[in-house]
Amino acid sequence: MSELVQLLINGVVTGLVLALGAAGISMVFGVLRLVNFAAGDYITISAFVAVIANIDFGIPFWLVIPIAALAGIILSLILDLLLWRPLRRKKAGTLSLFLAAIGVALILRQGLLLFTGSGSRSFDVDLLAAYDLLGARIALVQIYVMIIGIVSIILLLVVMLGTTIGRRMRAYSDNSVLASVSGINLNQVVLATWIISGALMGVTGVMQGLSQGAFESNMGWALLLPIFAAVVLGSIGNIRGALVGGLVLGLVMELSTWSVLFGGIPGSWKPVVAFMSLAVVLLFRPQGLFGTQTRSV
Amino acid sequence: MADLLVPGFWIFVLINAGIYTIFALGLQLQYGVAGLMNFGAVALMGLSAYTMVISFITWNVNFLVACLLGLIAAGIGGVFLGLMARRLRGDYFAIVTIAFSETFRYVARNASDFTGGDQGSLAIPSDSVTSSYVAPWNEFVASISIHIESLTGITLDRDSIMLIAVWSVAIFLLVVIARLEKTPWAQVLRASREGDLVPSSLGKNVGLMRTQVLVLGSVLGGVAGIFFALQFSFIQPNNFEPLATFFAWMIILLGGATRVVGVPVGALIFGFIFAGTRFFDFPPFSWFDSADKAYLRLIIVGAILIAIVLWRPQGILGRRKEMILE
Repeated sequence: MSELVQLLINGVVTGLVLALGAAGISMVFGVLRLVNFAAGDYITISAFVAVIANIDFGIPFWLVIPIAALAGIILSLILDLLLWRPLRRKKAGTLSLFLAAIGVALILRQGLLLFTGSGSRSFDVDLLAAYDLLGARIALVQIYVMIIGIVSIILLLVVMLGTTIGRRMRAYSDNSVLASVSGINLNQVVLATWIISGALMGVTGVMQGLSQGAFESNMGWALLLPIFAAVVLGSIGNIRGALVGGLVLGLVMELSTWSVLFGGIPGSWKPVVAFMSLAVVLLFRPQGLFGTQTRSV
Repeated sequence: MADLLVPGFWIFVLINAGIYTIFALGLQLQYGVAGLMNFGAVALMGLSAYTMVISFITWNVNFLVACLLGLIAAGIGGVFLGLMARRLRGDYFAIVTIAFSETFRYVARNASDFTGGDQGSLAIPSDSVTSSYVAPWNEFVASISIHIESLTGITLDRDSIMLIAVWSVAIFLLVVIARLEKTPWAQVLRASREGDLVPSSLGKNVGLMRTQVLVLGSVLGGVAGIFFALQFSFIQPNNFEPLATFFAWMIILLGGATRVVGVPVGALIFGFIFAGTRFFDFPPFSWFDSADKAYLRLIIVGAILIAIVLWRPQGILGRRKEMILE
């Protein structure tokens, strides 16, 4: 019983991280048709900015969360200006965008290695503190991740469902032609998309950095494939789907190690579980769990 | 700069370019003809290399049969990709193939009783004391070398023979694939890039044809994987990171993705760029140590990828009109 509670706690923590990352990536795809393969490195760089602010500049931990979000936003906007906007103007296709994103990912990650080296960093929080919960142990950092995650999800839903710009983004994502015809300004929608998604990348970086305890420059890359699995599970471009997809995948990955299920699989196989769930879902529901139609091209 | 004058170094660069030519040819076939964005191709290379090595070392299978099993394993991997391609296109297919290749690498790292884990082929379980799989290849090379010496009086070392072997196979495959891409089969696949409706209404089984092109491309990746394993005498999971697939994409972009002849050109340019960065010992490159230079090298690769996409999507040999980077 206590093992199950423990896995549920871990699953919710992993799931929240995946959910927010997936929402950010999915939203960019919905509006820009861009699979941002560099998003993992946006996550890592924001986390590094936050940890430098926290440790090297002594800024209190709770204050560095908005700093990480800001770092994610600035990085997203700079890259949009330098790369994605020119490519949109050239009407670049899927493959061009995909390869450019891989190029960005290489430059960002290797650049980060060049400047920070390969050492690992941690936030100034009590990594060892933990409390008893129904026979399981819940670490203080896990509680932090849950608070940050739930607050972020509420903020995200308020913006997407309750504000004009959120409605415009969803409208553009559903049908870009119809949205343009009804007078929605594309530039405004793109700007809002990068700002919200950049903030999500930053927050995801802090959350993953916390839940890992210590992190290195490949943190975002390792996180990227489970996040993509969550994006596809929740139907690419669908934000609510991405949130649910992330939570479900996080729980599935952690619960797969439960000893009641045929003894449980070793923890190092969790990424394989993520992919197998994705493959199984796609074979039976290629449009993802929340899609309504079969997607092609 | 001393390395620049050593022929052995350039032979090494050319062997790698040959292996990458065979590897990228499979991707060119899949994308150039069928429009499939396979970003997990390195898994097929790994699948073939691991199957060959494991069946030789653990199961004591004859060397040639082991190579054949490697190619079959890559082909079966291609069938799996074909299953995915029946349901998914474009970005979805690209993401799922990357995930597939990373999954292969995770399995290779974690199933250590079987694959040797992170220690690679050295730790693969074996009955005999030596767990090397290159002995039959070395014997073959030695016997060839003796024949050549008795015929021509020229002595060739292991690497020179590897160079000839890799490029003979590469050129043979280039000719075969170039011909294949002119057949009606390829024309139907080209038509299917615009959607399945037209070819299907003509009674063509597009799903099956897509699987065929994926299997063929995967077997080419398998050939590259076997040469890779023989050339380096040692394989480990991290040889098969997605980075290798990205390099192959860069090669076909450099050469112009629509033309088969662009593949070896792209591979040679890539090989020289990649090896050439070793000799950047002038500022600003001389400010970095060798570990930093490895990072810098990948930054250059990323910058070239972006530059091609931005300014020259048709590559070096491609014609702009026929280049549809969709």
